[in-house]
Formats: sequence, C-alpha cells, structure tokens
Amino acid sequence: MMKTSELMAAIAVAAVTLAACSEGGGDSAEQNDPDSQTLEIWQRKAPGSPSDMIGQDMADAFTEATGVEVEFTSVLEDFETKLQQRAAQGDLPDVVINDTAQLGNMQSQGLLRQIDPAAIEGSDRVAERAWDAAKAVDGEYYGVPFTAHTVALFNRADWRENVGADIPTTWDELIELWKAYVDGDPTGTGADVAGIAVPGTTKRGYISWNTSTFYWSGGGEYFTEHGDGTFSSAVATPGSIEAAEWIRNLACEHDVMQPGAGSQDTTNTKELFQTDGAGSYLVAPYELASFDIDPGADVVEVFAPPPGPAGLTTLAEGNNVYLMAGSANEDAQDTFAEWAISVEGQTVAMAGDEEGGLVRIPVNQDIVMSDVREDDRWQLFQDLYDENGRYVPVVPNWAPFLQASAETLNALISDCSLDAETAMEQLDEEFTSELDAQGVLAE
Amino acid sequence: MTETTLTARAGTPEAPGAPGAPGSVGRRTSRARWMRRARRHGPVWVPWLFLAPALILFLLFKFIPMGQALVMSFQDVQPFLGNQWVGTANYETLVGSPDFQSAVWHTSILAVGQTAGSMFLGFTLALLLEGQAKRLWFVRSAAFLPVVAPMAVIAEVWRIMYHPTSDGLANQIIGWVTLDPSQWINSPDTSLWSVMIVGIWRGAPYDMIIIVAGLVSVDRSLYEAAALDGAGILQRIRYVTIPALRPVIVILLTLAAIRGMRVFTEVYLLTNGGPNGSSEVVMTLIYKLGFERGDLGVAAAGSVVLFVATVLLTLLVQFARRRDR
Repeated sequence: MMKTSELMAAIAVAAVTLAACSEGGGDSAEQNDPDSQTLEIWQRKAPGSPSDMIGQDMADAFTEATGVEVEFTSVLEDFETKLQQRAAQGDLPDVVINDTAQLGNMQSQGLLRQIDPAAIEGSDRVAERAWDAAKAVDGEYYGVPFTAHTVALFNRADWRENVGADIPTTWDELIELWKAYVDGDPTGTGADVAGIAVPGTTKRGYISWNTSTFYWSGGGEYFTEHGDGTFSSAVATPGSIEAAEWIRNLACEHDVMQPGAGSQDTTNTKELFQTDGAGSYLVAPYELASFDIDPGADVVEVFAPPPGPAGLTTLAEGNNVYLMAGSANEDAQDTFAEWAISVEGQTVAMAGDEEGGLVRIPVNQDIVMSDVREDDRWQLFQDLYDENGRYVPVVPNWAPFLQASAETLNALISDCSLDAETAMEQLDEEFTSELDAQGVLAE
Repeated sequence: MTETTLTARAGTPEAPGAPGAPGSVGRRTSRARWMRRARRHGPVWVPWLFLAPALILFLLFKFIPMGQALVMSFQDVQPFLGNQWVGTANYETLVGSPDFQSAVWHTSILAVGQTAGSMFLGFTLALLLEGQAKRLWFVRSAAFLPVVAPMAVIAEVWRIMYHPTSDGLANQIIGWVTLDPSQWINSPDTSLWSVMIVGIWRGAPYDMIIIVAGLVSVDRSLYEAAALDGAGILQRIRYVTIPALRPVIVILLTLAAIRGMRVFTEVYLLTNGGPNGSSEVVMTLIYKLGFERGDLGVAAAGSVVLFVATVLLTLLVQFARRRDR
C-alpha cells in the first residue's frame, strides 16, 4: 500500500513539473491566411436559451455578410472558470461577448487585445458613453461596445391603483407606496406581500449590484478618482453612509423589503415578483418579455425610479465584444467587431421584440429604437441610459470591490443592530487595502 | 474501512516467521511462498493490469490536479501571462486574513456540532428502529431518504421551510412551543445553527444505518445477563450497547470529521457564508477567493491547508484507534 502511494506521488510530481513547464502565455500569434480565417465566438448566455438561438442566427448572418465561418458557443455556468481553463491552455476563443464589468479582470490577466477605435470602421457612430465602458484603467480600449442597458422600476400597476397611489416622484413617495403595499392588502386576498424584491445575497455581489442605483442616487460613491489613474475609497463619506443607511432601512425601518432577502438571488426575487409576492422590482429590460407573461402585461408598469437626494443615477451595464489575445485570426476578429457595431449587425442582434435579444439598447446611434421594436417601453430605457446611466468604476479589477460592498450591505440588512457608519468604515479599510493590492491607491 | 480490517486480518498469518530463524531459511520460505502465490494467482502484474484503468483515471483527474494545486499555491496565478513564483506569500495572505480565521472557527463548530448531533440522533433512531419486522424495514428506508436526496434539493426545501416570517414552516413548528419566529438563515446569530440543523437532519439517517448494522452484532446474551443483574434500559445502553459499538463509532467519527471539514454545498446554497460572514466555512471561502475574486493562488493555498488538516485529522483518529487496541 505504501509503495503504491509513493509511486503515485512520484508520478504526480513528475507530471506536475511537466505541466508547469509547458505553461505560459503568448504574445501575438502567427496569423492564419486572411482568406481562410475562422472565428470561435463565446457569449455568456444559457445554452439553448432564446439568446443562444439569436446568437446562432447572428453568427449565420455574419458569415453570410462577410464569408467568415463562425463556431458560436453559449456558456453560462462558470463562464469565467472555463475561460481561465482555455487561457491556461494558451488557446482562447477568438472573440468573447461578455459583461462590460469583466473588462478589468480580463485585461489585467492579459487576455485581451488592445483596440484602436480609429482603426475600427464605424466606431465614430458608437455612443461615447458606450466607449467609456470599453476603456481600462490605463486609458486604453480593450473591447468594442456591443450592447448597453440600464435599470428601471417594474411595478404592479393594479396594486398601485388598489391602494390609490400615483406614480411616485420622490423617494418619500416611493417608500409610502411600498408601505401601502405591505399594509394595504393590495391583492385583496389578505396575503402578505413585500414592497420591493431585492436580491440581497452576497452571491456574485448581487445586493451591491442591484442597489447601486439607489446608492448613487442617494449620494453614495465608491471611489474618488484622482485623474492620474489612482483612486481613494469614498465609501465612508457622509453621502455614502447615508445612502447605505437608506438601503438598509428598506429592511430595518420601513420593512418593505421581502423577508429573507439576504439569502435570495435574482432567481428567487424574479419569481417573487412574478408570483404576486412583491410590488416592485428594479431590473433591466431583459425581463420585459417574461414579466409580460407573469404577472402579466396588463398589470405591470415600468417607470424611472424617482430621483434621490443626489438626483437620479441608474446602473448602466452592457456587453463588449472582446477580441482575445493570442488569436491566429486577427483580421477576422476585426471584421467581426466592425460588423457587430454596424447598423446591420446591431439590428440582427436586437431581434425586434423577440425575447432574448442580444442587443438591448443599441450602441450605434444611427439606429432608431422605434424602427426596430414596437414595444415603446424600450424608449424609456434608452432615455434613462442616455441621461442617467452610469457604469461601475473603472478600476483594474472591480470584482473584489463588488464582493466586499455586497458583504457589507448584506450584513446591514440582515442585522439591524449593526451600526452603518462602523460597517462602512470597515468597508473603507477593505477598499483601501484592495486598491493598494491592485496598485492604484492614491498617495 | 472494511478494506483496512480485511488487510489487517489477512496480514496476521503472513507475519515474519519464528524469531531467530536463519536468513537463508527465511529467504527460501518467502521464495516458496511467492511461487505458491504465483501459481495460485498468476503473474504479479495481473492485479496491476486490472487496477490500471482506475489508477490512470485517478492519476489524470485526481493526483495531477492535486499536484498542480500544490504548485499553484506558491504562485501568483495568471493562466495566460504565465504564473509567477511568490514563495509562501499566498499562505501568509490566507492565514493572516480574519476571514480565514473565522472560517476555520465556523468549520470546526459546524463539524463538531453536525458530527455529535448526527451521531446522537442516528443512535436514537437506530435503537428505535432495530429489528427484523417488515414495517421497521419500511420506516428505516423512509428515514434514510434524506441521505439519498440531492443536497441541492434539500437546501432548497429547507430554505423554504426557514422562511423568516411567522408563516414559515420552521417558525410554525417552534411556535407550538411558544417560541417567537426566528430569522433562521437570515440572521448572523442563527445562520450557522440553522445550517447545522440541516446537516444533522441529513447525516443522522446515514449514521443510523451503520449503527443498526453494528447493533446486529451485539451479543444478545449480554443484554439478558445485564437485565438479570438488574440493569435498567439506560444502564444497558451505557454498559453494553455503547462499548460493543465502539468500532462503529470510530468509523463514523472518522467519516464525519472528514465530511465536516469539506462542508460546502449546504452552506453555499443556504447562506453562501452570510449574513456578514457568520456562516462562512473554509470551502465557501476558498470558492469565493478562487472563482469570485479570481485569486486562484490564495484559493489553492487554502485547499492545500484544508487537505493537510484532513490528512492530519484522519491520522489522528487512526492513531487513537490503534492505541485503543
């Protein structure tokens, strides 16, 4: 028995050494013949979902328009891990369509090709705001904008009428409305309902992500930027503490957040809103189609969240087309990037009013929303994005900050005796040491 | 565990020959024994041939990845740019972080609580459900269901039962004994205990089945003798049943300790370590460090620490068991 394990250990060590030696990334790879280049494209969407189908259609349309063959794959579970595995093999997909917020993470690992917008045909027709989300902390571009969106408040119009309220225009009215849902039996069945459904878990940083619109509108800030690529933490400023307190009071003082929010993710909150459990849900337009089915198009309305003490800022997000490093098909990569931002590419990916359109708000300014989509609620999201949208801060890697702020907010809504100021000061220390670890802490 | 017992038994007859026997004789006998064995079992490499498929799979999917994790734990892992050696920096970061220290503490509480709770409940169930009757067989199978149900399903069911209002099933039940509704997994004060209850609920039937098997081997006459000497039920359990079950209990303790260290799924699905890190265990922390923060080097260091701890704990239990004999 001993001998076997020793043997195994020896073999394992030898194999590891070999594996370790063969690791290592590459600079720009030798290029395939421009006429025979093909692309492997990955997007972060569920396989077999409507978005996957639209992606396949888009790939076909691209091949038809340009002659470049495409292998198009949708991956949702553990997307980042699978990308890491491909990176470890030194064989990344040629193109990845992924969240704008992932740019820093991928760029700092050297996974992305730098982009020169001037060399991309049609780049001048792409909204300036969208280009900002393709920029890394060094001021250079590492992605091509593909789609954008922001959030708005989905609300139960029938409940609002039942409690006799108007569409809220201030935060106080908003709280009043939610309180009326909780106390006023808006369903007429006596069932307990919540004012707003909040995915309050720390998983994937959900709570911080979902409440960032309220955080900013309430005067909160994550960082102070110093213009030279350095930052200092701003989460312990009076505005930030006040904003965090307002969010926690939805659970602790006003009792309008759904019970158990702290352990629920977006699947749970979506279901809660769809099954008459909550009156409002702050979410992006990708839920329009499913909310029209449940709770139903006739009872759901969507409006801009009322402005807070610091006005209205809504979380802007989107996807970039990332041209991955080490590809042997750089010409084809460029061709895809140009096609993806063209009116044709954007229109195909918008897929009209179908569920699962890859492009939510087009980044190409030549597209008129109402020409492509009949549902005029999209215009609200477009306006919000143009006027109030704000992307998460451009630090080298946003993920640790998202996670840390989610843990603090989750603690605040779960433990009402916790002092918000102390919690935010602790978060401030974490932010500062993480900024330092990422090498961008201001002196 | 059965394997160990078998090897130990089989080993006894093969123990070295009579002390003081001349070397040449020893060699001759061992050679003769080898020949005898070869005739009976075929060439030596045959067992290896049969083991090869499993060994190759283990090598590819267990030992090599484990070795790589060990290497990664000393590196700043950047798969594409190439990993950088950083010495023991990952371990220092890990051990120095308060998150890790509290995760270790929570893991220990959870391991001890779940092990003790499952054992106690399992033992009680086993005493109640021991016997040959058909209906007992049925009840035992029913009680065993939590062990075979997927953890993801169990976690989702318990999450619904733990609904923190007075309508929640768990709150209705504690309401019968006039307790106020609890926040269960949603409050830092109760989250770890709530996870523990789920663990005990799931682990107890497993312990029950093994203890039931152990109970069968208890000599009935000992019970009768004890009863004749005037021992009550509790005394019979204390002085007959538990000593007889000692080997079984040791096995269960070893398994439970290892399982306790690696606890992940129920915590991840029920609380994800929250609220405010109150139920963070080592595995969920490693997961977060590796896949949510992208700090694979530190996560690998955490895995190595966990691995070493598991090995040490297993050796400790084995050692205690040997000395016991």
